[in-house]
Amino acid sequence: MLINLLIILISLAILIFTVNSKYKIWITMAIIAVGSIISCYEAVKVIATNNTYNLGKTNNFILGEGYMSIDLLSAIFMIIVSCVAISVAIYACGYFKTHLESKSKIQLSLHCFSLVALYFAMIGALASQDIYRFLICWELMTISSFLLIIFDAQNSEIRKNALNYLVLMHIGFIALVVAFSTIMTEVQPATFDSLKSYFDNNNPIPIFSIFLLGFGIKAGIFPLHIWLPKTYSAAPSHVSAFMSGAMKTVGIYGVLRVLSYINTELMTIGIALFIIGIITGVWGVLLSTMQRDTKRFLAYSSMENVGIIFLAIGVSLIGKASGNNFMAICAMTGAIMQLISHSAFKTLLFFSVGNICTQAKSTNMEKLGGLAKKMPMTAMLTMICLVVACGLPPLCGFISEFMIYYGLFDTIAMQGNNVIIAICGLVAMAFIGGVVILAYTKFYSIIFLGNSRVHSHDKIVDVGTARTIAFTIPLIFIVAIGFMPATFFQIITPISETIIGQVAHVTDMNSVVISLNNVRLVSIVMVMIIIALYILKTQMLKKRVVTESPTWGCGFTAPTERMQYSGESFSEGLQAISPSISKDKIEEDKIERDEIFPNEHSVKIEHKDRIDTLFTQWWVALIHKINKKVMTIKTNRVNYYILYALLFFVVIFLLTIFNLM
Amino acid sequence: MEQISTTIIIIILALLIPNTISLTKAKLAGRRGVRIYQYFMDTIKLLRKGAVYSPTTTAIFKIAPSVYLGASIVAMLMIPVGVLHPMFAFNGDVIMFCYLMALGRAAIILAAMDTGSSFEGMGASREALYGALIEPALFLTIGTIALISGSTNFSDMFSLIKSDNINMVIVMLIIGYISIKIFTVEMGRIPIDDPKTHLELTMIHEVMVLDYCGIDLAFINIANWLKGASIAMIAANAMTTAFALNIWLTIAFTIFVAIAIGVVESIYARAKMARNTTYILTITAIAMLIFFVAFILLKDIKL
Repeated sequence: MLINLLIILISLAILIFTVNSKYKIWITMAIIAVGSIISCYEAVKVIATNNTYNLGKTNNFILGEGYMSIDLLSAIFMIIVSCVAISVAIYACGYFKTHLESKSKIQLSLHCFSLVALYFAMIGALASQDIYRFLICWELMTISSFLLIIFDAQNSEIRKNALNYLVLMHIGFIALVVAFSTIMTEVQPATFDSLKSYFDNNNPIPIFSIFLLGFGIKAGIFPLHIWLPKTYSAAPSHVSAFMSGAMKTVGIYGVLRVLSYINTELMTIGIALFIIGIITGVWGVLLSTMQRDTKRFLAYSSMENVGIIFLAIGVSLIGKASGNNFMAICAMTGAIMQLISHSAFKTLLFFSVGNICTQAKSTNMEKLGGLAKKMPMTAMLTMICLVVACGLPPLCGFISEFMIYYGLFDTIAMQGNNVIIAICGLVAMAFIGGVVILAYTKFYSIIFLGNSRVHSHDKIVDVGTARTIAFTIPLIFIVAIGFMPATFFQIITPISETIIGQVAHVTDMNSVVISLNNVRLVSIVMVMIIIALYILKTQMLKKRVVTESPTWGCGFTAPTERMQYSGESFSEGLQAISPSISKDKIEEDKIERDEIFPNEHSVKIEHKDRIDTLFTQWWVALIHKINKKVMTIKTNRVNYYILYALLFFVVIFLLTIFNLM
Repeated sequence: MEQISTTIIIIILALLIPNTISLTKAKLAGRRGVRIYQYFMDTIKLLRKGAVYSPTTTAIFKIAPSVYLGASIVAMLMIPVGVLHPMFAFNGDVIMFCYLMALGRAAIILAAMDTGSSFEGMGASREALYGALIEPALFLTIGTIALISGSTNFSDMFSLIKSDNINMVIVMLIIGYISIKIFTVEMGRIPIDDPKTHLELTMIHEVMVLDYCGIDLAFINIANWLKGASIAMIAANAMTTAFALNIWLTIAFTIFVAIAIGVVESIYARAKMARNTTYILTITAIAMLIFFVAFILLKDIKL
């Protein structure tokens, strides 16, 4: 029933191609809205009743014959994906207004259709129990997101980055096919449940590492993250938001789904994920401080969040392996909360970058500045995201980090088996958390604060209502988790228990609930004190002299906006001490000795990701060379090709005769 | 009642610490020094003033002092004084304490960047960097106390530590020492930063608040003192547990922390700005070392 309803919805998407350009996006929004309401309703029902919702055996012309069901794990991801999708669709409505003239009808149709396709592909992937269905949806996700990225395909750089994305995703896809088919040779039927019997009888590490390659590319773990900054900066903002907020989580869903079937060798896998998480997090956060392009900044920051999520998943597996259920469940709950808050605030941040992009026509931080006065709404919403991104109280970013820290601290205090792991996690998270504040204060202050760095920004106005409305749904999540942490903890704990396969002790869980209630109390008290202090101050100032005077310039009376601290200088201190994780290139035309009155000079600083530069080295050239040699067999003449076919048969024949195959 | 007295003691100590530091410095330099309530009077004077705002600034500049003060007040309400329990005590309050301090720091950094001044940008950049680097040391120190005491709750942490083992006494004293180091970094004292400096280019904390005056500056000063008192109190509590947990001993140790800082400031020059990161990372390394020492001692590994 539900499946058929969704199929009808998808078929309705054909309408997009027929109507007028203006209404295309409205139809898209309506379809995604109805789809997400239906799937959210079912998912909430699953979570509320704690029952797997079996969609039964489907048999229809699009997906073929297969099993679909929504269990707790897919339900929570469905809610995340649906909420992100609906806000992206609303945002796209506002975003499209500026592109109606510049794009052809077919481009708009294709883009809108791909939005619908990407959303339903993700829902399909989450609901599939059946591996073939899952792989079809996975591939559909890749293709539709590729079509979304090339919206501005007239730019060759964007085309190149999109192709890069397509190739990398297919490497991941091949890894998944290899992993699944290896399993399918031993166990049948081709459903996820078969993974359990396979992992119980075989060593899970080799197959899991292939899975990790396949899913990790989507999630963007180190060193598979190189597509993130390129793709996010190439895609339109709402697409980046969709990919970062929803598609990335589906990659993490894959990892969690596979992990939930593994019961042996957990220690090794846990430590591996833990280390991967730390490296991903530190790499992401250090590189994010060096970025000038806002979207690249968000890409690396997103990598840092994935790092923390993987760190927490690793900790939880280690906890499970050593019988420390409490740490396992705290860390897993923290990971899922981090996932939710990442989806929410990263979506919003890409929206605000989209606002800046269309209004100020630039994504380069160093060319922005002072936007808070011109775009107050965007500035305020970004401020909320900043608090979440830095994990500061009282919003949901803090709650998720609190959960992970809580598990780690508790392990240390209990003097359990994993004290060393816990303290390593603690130090890594503290360091990442500290640098994140540096990164985001830079991001916010260079864009929104101070004075505008270019004069063309004088006439900027804030964006329309449609785009502001798009911020609401993620905001609700951000505030709700922040101020009702205990409720969300109780909702998410059963999910982490199903992933881990262990149940936590009731008294332990109650102690967490008490702590979270106290956290809420402290947060509320803090907010009230802050408000009270602010009101007190304004009341006191009412009767006194409040004057305006230029910023203190140490006696210098003619400051210009170019004297402000730039983003590069803000993060310079960290760059000076961080081991060279980036390849820096500085091009400058030096001031000559005889230039008494120096002319205009330019300096160009580039920070390249070391992993990325690996792909421009000698071995890439070698592959190109070999490729060229091999391509000589491509002659474009039919007689040659017939000869190849003949040769193939002869080889097969010979191999069979000599029994070599 | 107990909670209120804890709060009052910390507030009084918060006023006393900056005074004691400057008094110590004055006495060592042969000066008479300020009156014991001078800082309090200065703040009262600031609270009576109006305000001057730069046209470059936005609402963030006006809200930030309230956020910083609010976060510092709430953080202070989590710190016990010896056996006296604080206002808020729950498992995991140590995490909240660290993050509240981070919240205050982020607010002030943003406010500094809001003025569009390159001086304040410089200070903000340094503060963000040093704050990021000291965070692991803070977590390691608190983690070590949690390891020894078996609690993740400030008010239980110190009361659960038994001082019958001489090894643990030494460990706790070293934790106190590291906490004082963290105090110097967080509060911007010598050798990280010299609060008495008069050159904008070399300042960290003072340069960030150059554009503040009147009530806003008073808020920031009070928040600074409360933050300093909280960290000094952690150091004092840690050192007290090495002997016997007693309120008067804790208060005495807090004053001792202030005097120690005063002495250090009188006989040392500030470090070069480029050396600061090394200094902070060394603190982290010591904290890491002491954690492992405590761990080995607790596991009772015979060498």
